[in-house]
Amino acid sequence: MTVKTVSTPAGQGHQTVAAQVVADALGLHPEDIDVVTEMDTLTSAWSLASGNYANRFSSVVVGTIAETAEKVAKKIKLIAAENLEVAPEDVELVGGEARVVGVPEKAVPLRRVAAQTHWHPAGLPDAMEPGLFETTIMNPPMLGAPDEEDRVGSAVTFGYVCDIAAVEIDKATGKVEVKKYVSVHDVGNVLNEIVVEGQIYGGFAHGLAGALLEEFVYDAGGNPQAGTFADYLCITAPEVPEVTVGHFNTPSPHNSLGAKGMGDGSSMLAPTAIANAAADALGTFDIELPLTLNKTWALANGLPYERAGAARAKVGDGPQETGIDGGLAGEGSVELNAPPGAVWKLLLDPDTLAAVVPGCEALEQTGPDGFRAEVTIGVAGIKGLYSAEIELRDKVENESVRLVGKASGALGFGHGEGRVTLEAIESGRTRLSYSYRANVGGKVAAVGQRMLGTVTKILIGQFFRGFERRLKGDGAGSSGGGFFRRLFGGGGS
Amino acid sequence: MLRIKPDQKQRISLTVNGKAMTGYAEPRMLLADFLRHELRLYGTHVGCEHGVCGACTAIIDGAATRTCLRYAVQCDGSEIETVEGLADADGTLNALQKAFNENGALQCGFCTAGILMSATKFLEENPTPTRAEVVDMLSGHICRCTGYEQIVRAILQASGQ
Amino acid sequence: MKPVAFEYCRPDTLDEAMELLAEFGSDASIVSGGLSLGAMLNMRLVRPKALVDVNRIRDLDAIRTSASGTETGAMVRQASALKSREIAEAVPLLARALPNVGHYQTRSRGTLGGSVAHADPSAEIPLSLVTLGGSVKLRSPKGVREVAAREFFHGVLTTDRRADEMVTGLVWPAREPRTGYAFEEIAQRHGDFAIVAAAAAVTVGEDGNITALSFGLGGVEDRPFVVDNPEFIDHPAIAATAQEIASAAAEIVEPMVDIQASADYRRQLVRVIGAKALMAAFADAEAQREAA
Repeated sequence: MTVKTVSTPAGQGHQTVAAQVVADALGLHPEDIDVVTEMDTLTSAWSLASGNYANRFSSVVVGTIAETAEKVAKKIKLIAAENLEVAPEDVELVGGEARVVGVPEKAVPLRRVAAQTHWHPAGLPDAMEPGLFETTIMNPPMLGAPDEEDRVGSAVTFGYVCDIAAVEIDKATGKVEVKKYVSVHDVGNVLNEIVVEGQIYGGFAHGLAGALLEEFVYDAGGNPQAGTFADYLCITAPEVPEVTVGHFNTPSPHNSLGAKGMGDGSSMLAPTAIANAAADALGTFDIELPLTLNKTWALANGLPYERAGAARAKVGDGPQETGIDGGLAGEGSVELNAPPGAVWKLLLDPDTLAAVVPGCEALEQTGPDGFRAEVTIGVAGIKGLYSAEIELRDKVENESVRLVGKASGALGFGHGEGRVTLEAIESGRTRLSYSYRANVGGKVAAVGQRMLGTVTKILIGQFFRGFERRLKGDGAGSSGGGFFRRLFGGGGS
Repeated sequence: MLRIKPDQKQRISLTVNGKAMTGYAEPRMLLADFLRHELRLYGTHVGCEHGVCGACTAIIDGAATRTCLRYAVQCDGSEIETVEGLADADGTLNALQKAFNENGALQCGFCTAGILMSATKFLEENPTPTRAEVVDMLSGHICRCTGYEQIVRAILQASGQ
Repeated sequence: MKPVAFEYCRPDTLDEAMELLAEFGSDASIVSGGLSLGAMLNMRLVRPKALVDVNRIRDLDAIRTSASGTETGAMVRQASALKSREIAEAVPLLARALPNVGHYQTRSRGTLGGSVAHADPSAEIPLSLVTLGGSVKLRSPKGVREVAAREFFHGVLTTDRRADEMVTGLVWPAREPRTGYAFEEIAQRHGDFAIVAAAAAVTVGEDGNITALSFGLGGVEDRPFVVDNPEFIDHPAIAATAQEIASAAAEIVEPMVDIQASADYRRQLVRVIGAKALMAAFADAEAQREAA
């Protein structure tokens, strides 16, 4: 006995329930039923229920399966009735046989009846089709014709769920604890308790994850920041509280089994329930999920919350903000043992740059104010070769210059700008102050964000150490204490 | 000292579920991929390839751990237990698998093999765990379908509690 | 993703490992547990010419306690350390940190040395080592070196380890009498990278005042560090002091900013988690005093 249905389940127990339903109709054991779930429009009739979505299975598909099984049962009884010389109403299907009601010894095995439809179709009751094969296409009464704008309402079920959430928010850390969660479902007639339970718990956990943990985050450059499971936080067992599940089941009038759709369940409600409970706790409806630790702490303490570098999806009219924003930024200064003139000269000298730019494999001047370089950057084993192009702008001799550049390589790309200012200080020395802002993209921006600060710090340190050595070659003493502290200080992010 | 060139296919002999098996792998071949594509043992799944989702978990030389973060060449001579080794030769489910079946502890099944192997090793080391201990062990696995409740029940049931 | 093609090298001895490091230098990646490196290799963030697998080198997994302290070989598995009575006795801070490290499925393979060499800013083992003032033993073809933990961690995933060096062991100072140890951390989910981790080692005198204090923070800046706070010596080991120490630290840190936490939120966690760790350390010190 094979059932073929167009639902394409991913573990929701469709085969189990389908086998149950067919077995019940035909007096067989579920293990006797083969269930085929597939949807290939080349070989299968298509219907609105094809595939698996919107809680179709228990609302519509399973009723259709039941109807089809009834058609098969009816045919079997008609054939058996003739064989047993009784009226069809006096035949029942039990234990793999068609039996006369009240006279169990008067029976014919189902397989004989089935065989008859194939091997001896001429002996079937009048006008009966050979073979034992029935198809039903679902016909839910709530579906209507397409309207004038060619729209169809395809929902065949609604969720009937009521959730109550009690949460406690720790003002000191922003932690949201679900103290109690109750979920009452009306699934109509329960087809399989374990499957229903699994859907309820799974839907709840999923909804809770959306309420507290899961978020796609992008930086201002559009780089995904939650691209690994270490950053995109799916809910795990320790974060799932116990949920008290209740049932208040009223049979559905729309199918012979009285079953309603129930797969989505609390995945629809948990986010709202948690958000509303949090709103109640925090005294504000200005809640945006997920209620992560940082966000909730800010809310609970009346503080502004703006995640660093986060992009905002812009919907509607108006210009999108572009430009260098978020990403890397930093500043610092070094004191060098040479007057500004000497520092300036060396800073803009291609040979010096080729020698002191960390990992510089090749550097050439492309014009009076431009450079191209091939640079290998390797920090913590994360090594890559980058092609860089730099332009010098707004040069004020011996005083300041702006650098604009971009780089790209296997691990990512970036563009940024920086500013260098020279100031004469005592004893013929110079304070070189620098600041930079950069946007980084590609793999290193997606999974290596935290590294970037360290990498820049190290590269800048290496650059100035090398630069200082070149300067020394011009004949001056060492630069004095606190050199590294000055290099590494000053607001890097 | 063993040295294998990047494009060299090394012969790997190991024991999988008590049976001696052999396959070939270049150095960069993940053990998870070796089990699946060389040994045709598709029960072990590959989910994230960065060690977080847990779908690839198997028991390697007595430790339940990630096969996506191990290379086949590291496992020459190793003893591996995968999900294929849990049921009897005739397909009879073991106590843990039966408990999963009876409690609805799996739906799509993608995470299941990894959890079964973690739980197998875990119960060997801790035969009568508390619910809290089971939940803590499960923190190393991501499941999208079940919400974990029935998994916890199944593991506790399998432990005889 | 899958890693780039690399040569696989498996030395059987430290000397062979040194030969490989001399040959490959920074083109080699050393793999012990592989839980951190493996992910980076699979994402192709790291593209070595050679992978040096040190798992078969013998005698790198010993735990040896003497009067001066405990030395753990680099290859001691986190799960072994977690089960070890010797560590529980001799290095209680580490024992208290370990349940927070990764998950059951990673601790069985991850190593103490690997965590230190990897140097994630929020990692618990580096923070414990720094808080206790331990050190890292390194070996290269040129010889051996021991670097104070407080000088070993330079930045995110960046340490003092040179390209031809391998971490061979960690040195944990002996526990002090009348000293309490505590480890606390907070993460979005159980087992996640800590947003802020705090470790405390506090010695309390007979009069109930602090005689020695080491308050370490991880996940706050780009490497674990001990807060410089000598002004709290001789303060009473009470809740108010714990709050003060943590708040003072919150004022001076320059926190990292990422999708989990802003600078201000990290400062808040320094206050809260820091105070929690200090209180627990005070209580532990008291328990040590009573037991003595």
